[in-house]
Amino acid sequence: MRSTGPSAVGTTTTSIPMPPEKAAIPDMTDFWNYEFLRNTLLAAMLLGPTCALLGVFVTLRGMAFFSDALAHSALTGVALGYLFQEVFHLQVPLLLVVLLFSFGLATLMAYFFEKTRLRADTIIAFSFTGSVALGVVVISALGKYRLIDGLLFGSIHANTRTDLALQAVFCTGLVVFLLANVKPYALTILQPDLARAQGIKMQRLNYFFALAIAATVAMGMKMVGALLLSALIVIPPAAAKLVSGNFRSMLWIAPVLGFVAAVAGVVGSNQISSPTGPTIVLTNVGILLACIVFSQLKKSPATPASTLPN
Amino acid sequence: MLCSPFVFESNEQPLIVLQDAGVCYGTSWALRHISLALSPGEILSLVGPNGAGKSTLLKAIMGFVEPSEGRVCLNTEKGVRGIGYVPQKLDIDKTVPFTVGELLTLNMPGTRFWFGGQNAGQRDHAVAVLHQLDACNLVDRQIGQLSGGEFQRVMIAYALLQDPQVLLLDEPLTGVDKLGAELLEELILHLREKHHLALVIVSHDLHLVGNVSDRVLCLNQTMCGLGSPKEVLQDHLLDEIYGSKRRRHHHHQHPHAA
Repeated sequence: MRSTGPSAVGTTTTSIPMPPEKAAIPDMTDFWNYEFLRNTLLAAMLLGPTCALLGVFVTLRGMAFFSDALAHSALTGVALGYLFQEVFHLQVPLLLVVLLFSFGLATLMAYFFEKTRLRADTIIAFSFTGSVALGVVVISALGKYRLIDGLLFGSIHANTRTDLALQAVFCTGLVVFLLANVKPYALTILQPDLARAQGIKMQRLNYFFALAIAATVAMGMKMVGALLLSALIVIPPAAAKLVSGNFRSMLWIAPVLGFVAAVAGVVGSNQISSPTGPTIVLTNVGILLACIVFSQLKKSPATPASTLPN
Repeated sequence: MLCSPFVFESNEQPLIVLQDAGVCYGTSWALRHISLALSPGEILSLVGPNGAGKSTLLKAIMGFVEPSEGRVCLNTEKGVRGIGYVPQKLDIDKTVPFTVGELLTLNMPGTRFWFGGQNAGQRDHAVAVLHQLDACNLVDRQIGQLSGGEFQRVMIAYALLQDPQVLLLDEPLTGVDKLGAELLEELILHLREKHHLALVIVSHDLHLVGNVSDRVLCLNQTMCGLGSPKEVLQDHLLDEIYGSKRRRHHHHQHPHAA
């Protein structure tokens, strides 16, 4: 059994019984009757599509590995947060420490990239493995090693109402930001010089983008954990790219797939008593595989004549 | 901003003036002592070996890099928006899902916010611009699937949307076959005639350069020669900058009328 199941939630919910055995078909009313399940489902409905929308830009800009690294390093952010709280008695919110650490790491990686002759993927690899190692050492020194499971794989059932409100505000803000900046980001995906030619300030744009990824990591960590978070960012847009013929359709298909996978993952994990975060990721992978098959089937008969240049 | 005239032969006010401009990356000079004026309707080609500073010169004109010495003055009506920049095909990821129509929409006014693809008016606008370049059949194609010549046309259409006075073409013949090169040659002369555009063309293809240019600037960190194609594209000059093992290109001098 997972430590993050219903029994691990705060004292107010421990007395709530598990959904009745008979429920072989997902009974949505159960989700509304149990607050922690409701919070879980709502969090998934918010974060699934938001991560996917961000992911459209992340994947098209070739930053999947970068987002993966920032997600992993969230572990270190949490560890440092504990350190501040317990050793220095600073009551800083963990989310804030995660956000600042991720953003700091992103800036550091950008600095290394500019100042050294190392390739980007090399810099990302040593930066995040190094920071994860630091995080594990700090967590273990603080005697909190038992928490590592929840940090790596998520503990979405521990989502409180406050968390949910924060997630709602964050998701709305990020979606508005991304949609308002589709044009500059689309131009940088195509060719940074085209963006520069329109007077777009590239450096500011890149900083905001790194900040957006860092914030998403901080928000999504509770749901799927540091190890699996980038799946929510990378997989739905990857699947969407395979089945969309243009950028516009990719922009809406990715969040729809992210939403479906997140909801199906939460409902499914409840049905088969599997850990929620990994189940969401598996649902995403299933959708991706289906899209790969679909795109291959679609491609084979349509290739002759119709795609030849005139 | 008005600069004192430097070197130009036309009576019209030059669109772009460089005065002893130089660009320095870190401690090394990519480009030095460039003095040049581009007149309206003029076709100027930049030739020179790799690393000669050709792309840097385009970047300095576009304002992507600041000149470390000297001045770069734009006298175009809309400043840098009056210059259409056409990047190399190599620089674009072939797998991006953008269609030609979507790409063109990105250079239209009114899509600053809430870009949701293109509306009917924007699509018509895109088709109209492509039509001028005999390329309206490309509007729904994905840009990664275009051939080299088609890509150049699309990027020129993108630049024309901002109604420029100058076009900068960076290696327009990359990935373009012989037929495509001839069509592009025609297109360049047509653009100059119909839109009264001035063009700056960076190219290794001395055939193209010889056929379309009014003037050729030979670069190798600094100016090695500036004049008509006949004056500049001479074997001894090219040997000097490319090294003597340069493959001899034939450059036929056709009259400009097409």
